[in-house]
Amino acid sequence: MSTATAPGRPPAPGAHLARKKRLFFPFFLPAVALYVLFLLVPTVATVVLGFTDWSGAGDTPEFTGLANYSELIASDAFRYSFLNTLLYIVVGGVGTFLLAFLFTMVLREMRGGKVVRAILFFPNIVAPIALGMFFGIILVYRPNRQGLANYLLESVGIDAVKFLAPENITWVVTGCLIWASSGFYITILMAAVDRIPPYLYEDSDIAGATPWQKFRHVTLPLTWDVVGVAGVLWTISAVKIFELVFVLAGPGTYSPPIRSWTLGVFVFDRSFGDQGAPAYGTACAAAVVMILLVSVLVVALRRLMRRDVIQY
Amino acid sequence: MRSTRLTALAAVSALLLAACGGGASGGGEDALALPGKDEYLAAPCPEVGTKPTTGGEFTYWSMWTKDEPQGQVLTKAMNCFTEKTGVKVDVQWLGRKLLTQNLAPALNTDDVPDLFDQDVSQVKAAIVAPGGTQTVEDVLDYKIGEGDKTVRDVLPRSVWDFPANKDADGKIFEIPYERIGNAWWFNKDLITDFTAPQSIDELFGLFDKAKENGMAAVSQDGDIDFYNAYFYTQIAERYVGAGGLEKAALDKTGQAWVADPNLAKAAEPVERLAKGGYLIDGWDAAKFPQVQQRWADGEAAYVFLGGWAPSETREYLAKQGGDKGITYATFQFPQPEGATHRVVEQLPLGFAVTKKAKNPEAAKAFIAYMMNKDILSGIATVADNLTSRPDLPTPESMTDIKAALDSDAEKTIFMDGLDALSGGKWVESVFYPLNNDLLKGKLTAQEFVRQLAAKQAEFWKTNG
Amino acid sequence: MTTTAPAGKRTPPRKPKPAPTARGLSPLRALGMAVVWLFTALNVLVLYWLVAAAFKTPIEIFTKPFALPRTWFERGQPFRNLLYAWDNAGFGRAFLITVVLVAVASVVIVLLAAPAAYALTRLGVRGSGGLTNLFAIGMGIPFQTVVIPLFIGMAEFDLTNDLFGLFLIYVALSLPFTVFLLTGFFRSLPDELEEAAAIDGASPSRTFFTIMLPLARGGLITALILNAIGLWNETLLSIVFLNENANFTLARALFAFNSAASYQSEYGGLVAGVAIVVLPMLVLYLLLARRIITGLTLGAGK
Repeated sequence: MSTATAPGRPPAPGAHLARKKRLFFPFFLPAVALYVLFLLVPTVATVVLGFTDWSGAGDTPEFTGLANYSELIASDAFRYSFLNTLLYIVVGGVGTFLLAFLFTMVLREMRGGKVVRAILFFPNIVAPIALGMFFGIILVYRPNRQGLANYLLESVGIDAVKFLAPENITWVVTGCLIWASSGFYITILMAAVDRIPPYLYEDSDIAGATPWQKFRHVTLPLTWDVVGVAGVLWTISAVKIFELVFVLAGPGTYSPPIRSWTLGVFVFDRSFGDQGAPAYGTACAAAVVMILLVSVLVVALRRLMRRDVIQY
Repeated sequence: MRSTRLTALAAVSALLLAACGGGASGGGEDALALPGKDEYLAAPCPEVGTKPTTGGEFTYWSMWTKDEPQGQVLTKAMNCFTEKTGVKVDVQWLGRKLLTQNLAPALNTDDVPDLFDQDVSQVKAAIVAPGGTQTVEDVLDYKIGEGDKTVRDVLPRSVWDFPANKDADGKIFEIPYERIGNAWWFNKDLITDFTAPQSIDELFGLFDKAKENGMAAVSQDGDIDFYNAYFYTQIAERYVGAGGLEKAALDKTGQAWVADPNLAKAAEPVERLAKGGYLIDGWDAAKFPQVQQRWADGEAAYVFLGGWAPSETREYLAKQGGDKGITYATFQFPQPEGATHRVVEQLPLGFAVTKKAKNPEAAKAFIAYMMNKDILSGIATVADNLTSRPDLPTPESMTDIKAALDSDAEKTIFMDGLDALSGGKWVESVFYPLNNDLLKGKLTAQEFVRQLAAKQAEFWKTNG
Repeated sequence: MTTTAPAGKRTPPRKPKPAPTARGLSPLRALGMAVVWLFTALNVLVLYWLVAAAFKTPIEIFTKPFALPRTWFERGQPFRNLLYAWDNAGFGRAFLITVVLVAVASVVIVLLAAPAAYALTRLGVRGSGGLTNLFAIGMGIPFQTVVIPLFIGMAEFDLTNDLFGLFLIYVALSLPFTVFLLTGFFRSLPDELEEAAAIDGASPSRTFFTIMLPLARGGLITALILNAIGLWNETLLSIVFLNENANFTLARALFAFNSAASYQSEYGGLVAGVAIVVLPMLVLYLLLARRIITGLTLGAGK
């Protein structure tokens, strides 16, 4: 092609490497520029705004130090938001992963496992807001005209449950979360399980291992890294929970009662959902708490999961 | 495999296309429509009194949806306005939360509507406070298309001239077109031997009678905090008068709640309501508006709601496909024992114009046109609500509420305006949680006021 | 469907299905089977309920959840709910906007992320690892935390209530995940082909476009689909950044319709609205389930 290089003779590897390196910036810059501009800079701005009092239009941010944070600590709404978010991450996460582990034990050897996997994954492609509306309708408690869930309960002779009562709503949301997200984690874990050489299972079959033993001594150790990654993914996505709670726990128009709030709902309510002028400063402080929560949990999770990689 | 999938895809898209291409929607639901509706919508457009000189167009962000009765009335008004003046209206049907979800954020930009609507209380808290509106006082002198009559001539002063409708300069920011009151509602067809209660005991007598007849006494959508707040605030206002609750709520020490024994006394009937099993089963696991629908279905005898009860429940019954309507009737809370104030809650709902409006003149001309009797009457005949003009016909279901609103009782905004305090944060963290517990029977009247006092002191420490 | 190159390389030889074990079912396994089937049946049921309810009257929805829809068919208006939602929620326009916005944004995301991921993994530049981590951290930043400064900043440039503004945000906020996903793909590609291309004298950019990109095709398509699904369902940002009906995306329109339809007791329309948002994704999913699942697992597994 180029006349500079004689045909048949490769260019010096060093020269090629240098040319490759020249590609780096044209390839990398557009993405990183957008990333910095739209994600990193706003994050820094949020941290700064978290120390101010600001209600948006016609107001200038006023530095108030840690006032927003002490307001958060004193606020019931925030306490509920924080604890609920933590609950969703921990209880929802444990539930999701237990279910996923249980499924990995069974799905590997099951006929039609691929179809089942595809069906289980389905809720993940549904918009959370649609899920929230959908659950809102099927969880209705109304004697003689029950929603689907209570209809099923009553048809097998169990008393209808007041799913949407504020005392129950966090647990209901946890259940909905587990239902909706387990498919995703089953899929990821199963892919890791599929990469485990089959002879390991065959050997343990010959040795008469129970499903639990196979899980404990083959599946779990060999998928540990994937479990770790999946755990981080779960934490990241569970921290953001917003639409599902907003639509399911409330009338859909107004913010739900504070008992059911998550940090995502809190930030939204303080900036776009409240009655009065927005409290951007408080919202930003709560957003900073969200970032801190993710960071702490992810670091803790990585510590917890750390061990030597098993080669196979 | 691929081909069957494609066939399935084709079938689904054909289905969807058929769905989109089909004819008019609806139908089969008009059995319960109000008699005057078609007549109103088909009537010729009245003349415009004050024509905008600028022409062109203006933007209107609406608290309604296109399909709601009020949406239909406003659509007619806008079409007529365009027909008579050539001014186009760019309307966005945004729903009830337009102020905080749409308008307040938009105030940070230059991209704001000229005209919008919501109740006075919410507009004041969310839009007037940050200086987002301009006064509409000049509209009072606009002609409405009935000879020389102006807006001022047809709207009584009490409809627009009150503190909650004033901006920082003391000018009014909203011209109301609908007046909302609230009341206990019942269906005259079901409750035939009704006498209006004169005391709280008589009120509970009614409830007991309903229970004896195998109905639930009171229906309540418990997931809406401010619906749950009606009971206590209605009774308490009668003890402390208009503005009294707001005063108690603003007390930094919170002691106001325990200092006046009447405030605890007002919680006693609520405690009785909660503990006596008067509320319908499942009210506390509600998904609005399913519990008010159960009232409409006759499962409960009474429901306390705003003037929107008939329009919402009538639409529900129509959508059920039934042909059995409700004969709506109302009564106000009786005067509690020892209470000295006669108080009526009202909530005017109207148009406001933004400060950054690009076409304020056209928007204001439209407000005046809305006050024309042939336009505004739709709020009564189609939407089944009270208009802001006393000379227009009153829907039958609203006659008692109108009488209450027109009486010489003290007037206050719904909930005495508590929900606007501190941008809504006071009710959210102090009042609503405790009031919900009171209504659930978890607190006694005494505990309720004591905890209010404590919570409030804590609240004002950080939100002062 | 032919296996993609990266998948082909690592997939172990397909083993024959294990013979059904002769031993009796252990309790754990029995429990597992029961849960799996219950769960699967529930999902199928829910899907049926959703589709059926979109054609039912409110009474039918609540009193006969499993029956086939009848009333609207008898009245000769089988599509009444869908039409109602379509007309009153403005889904017609929203549908068009969403399709275009999601398609363009997903393509642009991949067009920007693929070179970046390539640069981070295969150009041998020092510090690449750290930069990759920088992108990965971005995945952990919840949208809520950047929404306020973004809104104020975009307002300065008149990019709020503007589909182009939302497009920019969608692209930018999707980059961390996509770059992260694609670095996994590029890392798994064999070195030999790239070296051979270099020996043949192909320039590095030519190598990227004609050799590496086609090799990573599986990853690119996965990234495209996952972004498309994510953006199709995105609600929070569209609530904040879109004010006018005329600009609404489907999820945004559904959010507005949810509260409106509740006031009007319009459960048929409500379910139909949910169905209109969900069904296109379902069709996409039915067509591409395998691709989505293999792609996802490749990305996450690495």
